Order: sequence, then C-alpha cells, then structure tokens
Amino acid sequence: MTNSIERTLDLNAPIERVWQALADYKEFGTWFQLRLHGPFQAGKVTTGEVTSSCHHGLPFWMRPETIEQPNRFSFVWPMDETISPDDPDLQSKVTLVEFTLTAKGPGTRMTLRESGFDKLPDNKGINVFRNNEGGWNAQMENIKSHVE
Amino acid sequence: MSNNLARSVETTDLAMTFAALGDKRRLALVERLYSADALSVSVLCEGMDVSRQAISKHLKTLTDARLISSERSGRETLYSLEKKKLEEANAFLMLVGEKWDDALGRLQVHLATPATDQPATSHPVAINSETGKLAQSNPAANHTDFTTSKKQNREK
Repeated sequence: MTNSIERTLDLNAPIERVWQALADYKEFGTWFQLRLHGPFQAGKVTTGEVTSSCHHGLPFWMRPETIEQPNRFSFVWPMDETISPDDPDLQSKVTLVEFTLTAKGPGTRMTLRESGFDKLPDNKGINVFRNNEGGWNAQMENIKSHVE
Repeated sequence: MSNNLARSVETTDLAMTFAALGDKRRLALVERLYSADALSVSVLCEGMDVSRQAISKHLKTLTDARLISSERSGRETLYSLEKKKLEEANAFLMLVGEKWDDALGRLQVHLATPATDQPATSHPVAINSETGKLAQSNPAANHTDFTTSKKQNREK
C-alpha cells in the first residue's frame, strides 16, 4: 500500500528517443491520446483536447514543471476536467506526474511517479481524460459505489 | 464495528486516507495490523524505532482517517485495521495505475515506430521549435501493424 503511483519500465529505445517522445508535445500527444496546442515550457500551461474515442474533444491542460533534457520531465495536471488552470485553489486540485529517464545499455529505464492524491479536495474520482479502455465504466461504478 | 463508523464510511475521504498513508511508520503500522486481528499499542511499539508516544500519535492519525478503529479490552485499547477503507484507497490507485499502464503500453508501441527517418538524436528536444515534421502522420493508425511492417522492411 502506498499513496502514489509508481511504475518502472525498461524501454527498448535510446534515452534521446524516449526523451523526444516525452518532451515533444506532438509526440507526447500521439501516445497520450491528446491533441496539444503548443510546445512544453516549464511553468507554462499547455492546452489541448483529448483524442481517445471515449472522451474525444474534451478539453485538457497540463503544466510542465521540470524539463531537464534528457532525464527529467514532470508536469502537473488537474484531477478532473472541470478544473481551470486559473483556479485560485489550484495547488490542491492537481497531481504531479514525474518521468525520470536513465540510460541502461542501449535502452532506457523509465520511472513514472504520480503523487499528490493526498491533496484531493473530494473524492469525485479520477479525471476522465486519463482516457479509456473497456471496463472503465464498470470500474468507475465500482469505486463510486464504494466511496459514495 | 459501530453504526457510527458505518455511516462515516459514506462520507469517506480518500485524500485523508492517502495523507495518513503517506508516512513510513504509519504504513508499517497498517502492514502489521493487516495480518492481525487487533493489537495493543504496546505490541505495536515492538520493533518500531520510535517512542510509544509517537506510535500513539500515528495511531490517532490513522484513526482520524478511519483506517483503523479501536476498542477497549480490559485495561488495554486494541487497534484493528478497517480493511474496507484500505481497499477503497487501493482500488483508486489501481484504477489510476491501470490508466498509466495503458498509456505506457502505447508509449512502447510509439517508440517502436520511427518518428522520423532521421536519427532521433538530431532532434533531441522539440520544446521550442516547429516540429511538424516529427509528428505522426495518422494517430488513428494501427500502431502495432505499422511497427511490425516497418521492422520487417528494415530487416530486408
């Protein structure tokens, strides 16, 4: 049991390639299923829309915090799609996502960490633009029936 | 479990749960209570590197978050884990984690697909320039098939 999400992944690609897939907003959008409007800059909000089928067109935003080529990329994003980047109480409505890359032989070890769930203002659930796969609605119902 | 507690679960607060779990020692307490029915402070103190007072404080935090409950047993107070609460928090994190597993799976597929014919190192960062050339032609394309055929072509 923990209070954050952590994943470690060994990727079959050089660190520069992985870095590009993270730090290039268009590449990021490709695998993250987003259409982002502009490049990432630390401290600046990037907006866009969700492209995954279930939530297609839903507005999205994220704010890069750290861009340290080629090792660290982090951003905050809102807990749900109703939260605006101008929200006066933003700090308690976002979580922090951190990618850490280290070269490992010809490949790359990637660590993902998402934290900040201890600040959630309520328990609405997680933001829906974390896109989708089968069973998500059923799971959502499960957790809803648990927490409501 | 009292009715009071059952009611309070309805207004449960995941944030409080995560805050309560965000401490090494409290996590250790939760772990020990997980495999036990009910334990006293004295028993919980054993093997911990902090004072009994500190343990009591941690137990209070866990009680406030309703992760544990207590009942009197003679002269002692026994603490037990509210597993349902832990399961709620766990289910939430699993859900978030599954989303990430999907996204990371797509990243792996994406990485197996050359973004450009030029070596990636020639465009290590694209955070400030027009990078249209690097964009994937069709995000809706079936990445897996694309990857496979590209690889085979290269090997020829």
